Amino acid sequence: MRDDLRESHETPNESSLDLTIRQVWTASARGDAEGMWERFEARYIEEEGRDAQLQRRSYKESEESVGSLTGRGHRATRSQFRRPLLLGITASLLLIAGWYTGATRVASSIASNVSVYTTNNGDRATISLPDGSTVLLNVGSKLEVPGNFAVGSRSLKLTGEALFNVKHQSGTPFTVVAGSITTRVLGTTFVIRRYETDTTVMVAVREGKVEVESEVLVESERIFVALNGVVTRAGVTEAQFSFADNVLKIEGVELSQAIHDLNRWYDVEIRLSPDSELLGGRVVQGAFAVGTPSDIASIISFMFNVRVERQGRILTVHSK
Amino acid sequence: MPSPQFSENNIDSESADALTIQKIQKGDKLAFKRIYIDNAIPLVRYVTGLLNSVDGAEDIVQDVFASIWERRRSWNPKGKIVAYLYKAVRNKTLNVLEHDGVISRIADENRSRLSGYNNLDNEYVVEAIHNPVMLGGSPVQLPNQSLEQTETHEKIIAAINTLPERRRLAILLRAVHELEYGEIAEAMEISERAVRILVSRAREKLREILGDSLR
Repeated sequence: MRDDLRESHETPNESSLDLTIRQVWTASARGDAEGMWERFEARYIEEEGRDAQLQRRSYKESEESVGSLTGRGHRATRSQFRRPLLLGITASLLLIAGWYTGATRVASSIASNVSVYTTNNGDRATISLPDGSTVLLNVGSKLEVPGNFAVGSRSLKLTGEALFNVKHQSGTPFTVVAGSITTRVLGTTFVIRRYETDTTVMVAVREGKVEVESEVLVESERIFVALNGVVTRAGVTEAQFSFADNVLKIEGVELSQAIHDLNRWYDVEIRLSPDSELLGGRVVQGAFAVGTPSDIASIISFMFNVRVERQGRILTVHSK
Repeated sequence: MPSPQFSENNIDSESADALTIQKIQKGDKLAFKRIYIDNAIPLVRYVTGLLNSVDGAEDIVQDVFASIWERRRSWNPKGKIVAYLYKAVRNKTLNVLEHDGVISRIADENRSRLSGYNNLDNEYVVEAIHNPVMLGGSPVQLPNQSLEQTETHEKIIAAINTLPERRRLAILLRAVHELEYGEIAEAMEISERAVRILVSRAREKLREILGDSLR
């Protein structure tokens, strides 16, 4: 079809000139490109992989990845997203698998003031801190790192959700402030969550021991601190740590609540149309891999047998 | 809990490019490599012409691909990928020319060549600079090519590189990458009619320069 179109545009003379240009301009291009690709891969892809191997705690997908963060010229890496879109709930979730730190092209410009790392909805990033600790920042989150971090004290500020893997350093406490709640840490792995849409600050400990305000949490313990200070304790489940494995797990949450998490995970805005209001009370249970707005539109329509109308990133749910 | 698999068929995509973009967004290295292999060397040759030098051309192209790969999750070019690539390396080259004091005189000439494009008439002012450096990547001589053929090759590349930049971009997108006039117009942010004029002037000029070299 394209040939027909072209014939209608070009005279035979023009076509033959174009062909000559094309042949000359692309002569040996693919062959040469292979060598160039090798240099590209070595410089921009494989080095990342090597760096990552030094720091990864478990070896999972050995795919490469880099993402840039907004904020003061720092770079951090993004996780790799090549999984089926909806995973079985039984999928075993390893902590901190397949994520990477310290890309090869770090533009380090840490000034004496605060560095702000942010992730957009749909994006996550890994941040390597100067003390060797790492932070996996979940979707739609913000981490503030003071310029004097690791000098005498290690203090961070979090909005949203992050998984911390803290290097033990005796005498230098590691603290995270989220909302009005301060969590003090010894070497450990734990998640703190406090999105704007949340009414509590949640801390879940995977390994080690942390202190939330005056409450001490050990491995497998979880705590919710409400805005009024009321503390609720619970055990951890896989769901709290699943984002480290590129999965959003929702364990029996009403759709009206789950929408916030889905919005951030897929960078969409889900709206329930008036005719589908009852849907808000339906329970969402499942494991969601990374995907596009149209992916989650299909998933919702499948899960609830509804019609989802998509306009860009706005998904409107209608009952059928 | 049912666990359906959602394939690419679910994603509304009109063209192969849209599908490629989606794959790259999901981190498909092979899809990325494919657009790299298809376009890297033509892009290096194009940048070489802009810089008047092979040095730096590969770096610019590598940087553009690196930046796509880094922010692939949100990479979502409108229109054709190849048009996006040319646009991206062109902008990158302009930045280099503007910020890099090392490139001085030649760069100045190029800058004037590059800056006068907003209207078509300016092209007459910034008409060809003779450009002896044209080969990006490696020599164009193919294994079974005679010296005479190689000379013709170089002559044609030289002729292409003497075209004012916008004409060159238009003819390359048209002749080498076979984009529709409308697609080129979108990429260059000018009217389709203007693209036709640029392409036809490029062809005229090339015929004039090459004369006998063309069979």
